Amino acid sequence: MTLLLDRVTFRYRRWSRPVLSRLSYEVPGQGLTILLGPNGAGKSTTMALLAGTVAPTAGKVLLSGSSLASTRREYRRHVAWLPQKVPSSRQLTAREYVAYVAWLKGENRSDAWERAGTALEQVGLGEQQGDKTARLSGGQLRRVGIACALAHEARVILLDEPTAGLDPHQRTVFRDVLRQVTAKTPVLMSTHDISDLADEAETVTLMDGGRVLHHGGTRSFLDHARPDAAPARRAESAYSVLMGLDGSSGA
Amino acid sequence: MIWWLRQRGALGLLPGALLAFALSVVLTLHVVLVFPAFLGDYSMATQLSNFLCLIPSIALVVCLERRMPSVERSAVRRLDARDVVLVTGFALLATGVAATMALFGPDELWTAARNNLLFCGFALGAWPLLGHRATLLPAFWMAQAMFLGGRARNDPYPWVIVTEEPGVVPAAAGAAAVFLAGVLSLICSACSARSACFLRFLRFLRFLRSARSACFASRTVR
Repeated sequence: MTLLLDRVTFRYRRWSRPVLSRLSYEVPGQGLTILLGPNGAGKSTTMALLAGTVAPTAGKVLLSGSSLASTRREYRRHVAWLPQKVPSSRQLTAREYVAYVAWLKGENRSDAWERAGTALEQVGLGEQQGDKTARLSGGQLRRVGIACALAHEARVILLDEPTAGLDPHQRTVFRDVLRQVTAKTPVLMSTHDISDLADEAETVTLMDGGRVLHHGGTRSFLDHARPDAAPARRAESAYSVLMGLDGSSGA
Repeated sequence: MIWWLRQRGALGLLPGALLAFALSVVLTLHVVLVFPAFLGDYSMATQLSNFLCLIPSIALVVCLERRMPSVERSAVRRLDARDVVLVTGFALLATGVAATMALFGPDELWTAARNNLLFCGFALGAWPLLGHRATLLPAFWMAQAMFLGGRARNDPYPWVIVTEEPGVVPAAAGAAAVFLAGVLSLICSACSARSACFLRFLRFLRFLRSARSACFASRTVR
């Protein structure tokens, strides 16, 4: 299954400057892809376009060759999106919340309920199934968001800055969950935090100003690092070189 | 469906608000409040039950504010139409309950039914623009009716509606018109949320405009 943006232009207002201009981008069909870039690079807009929550001003969003406009229902069923801020609910427990999202994605009620239980077990929240989501911590709420994606068997999962605001322990737990998920389903994760570029990412896309500066394997990204960079800081060095922050001309 | 109803408060918030509205209106029927007038020489006297008609409109806004747009926007099952039916149905139910009580009780309950319809219309109309602040509009209308709405003792201006007597037909018609406008506003906002549909509509408008200007240009050339 391929998910791609085909020469997409996007403006938030009709006369405003385009956030993305004729951007073409294909989400890799396996493993974890990290969409990297500074604040305002266009990552969240790209994610929202891929999730189908906003429509492009020009160009197409395609899933396996079919445009979003023509197969909206199928598209939304197969693409899961975890927004930057997962909303909590005082009315629903974690299991009801996941089941509700699965129901919204087209599952029938009994299937949604069964899958919600399984998905919560998968993300390590089996014991919190009966807790109201408003009582869960930020990290647990993100994992509930992942469970929502698992519950309706999405074919592509989009995570918009899922590690923002998490403490180091919650990040580690989140990465463990992510490692399990990416083994089965391709995941595109946007972030501006270079430390998210852990060993598990297979592809790195670097964006700035609505343009893709680099798209390729993690190794090819790290090859841009300065030769004198310490091994633990190669990702930061490569990022600086490609962004032109170290005095070089950039990508 | 049950999770959607629970998330919106249709099993707790809305029945509770309906009960609170019905009971409080009945219990405070003959309690009269007197307000000073800023315009004119007469103070305005009104029943406390008129203020209690704000309860269903506040409940409606709270119900709509329980939506989770970031989750629901990317859903296969669209909830906009269900939400419109839920809140419109609740507003009509609250009006119907007050009207039914009026059949067996004092005429003042007709006023409660009418004012409830008016306030719900204001809340529904304002919600797409103001969000949770939409509750302020009916409250503001009630306040301005008290302070600015009287031209003489027990003689409100016709546009005030809320302090009119129960049997005044133009006031009832005005309340119904405001309610319809509110529901229409809600439906329009739901349509614009379906961006593809809305964009198609915009493109159609643009096409009409360009066709008209092309037609105008050809006439000018001739």
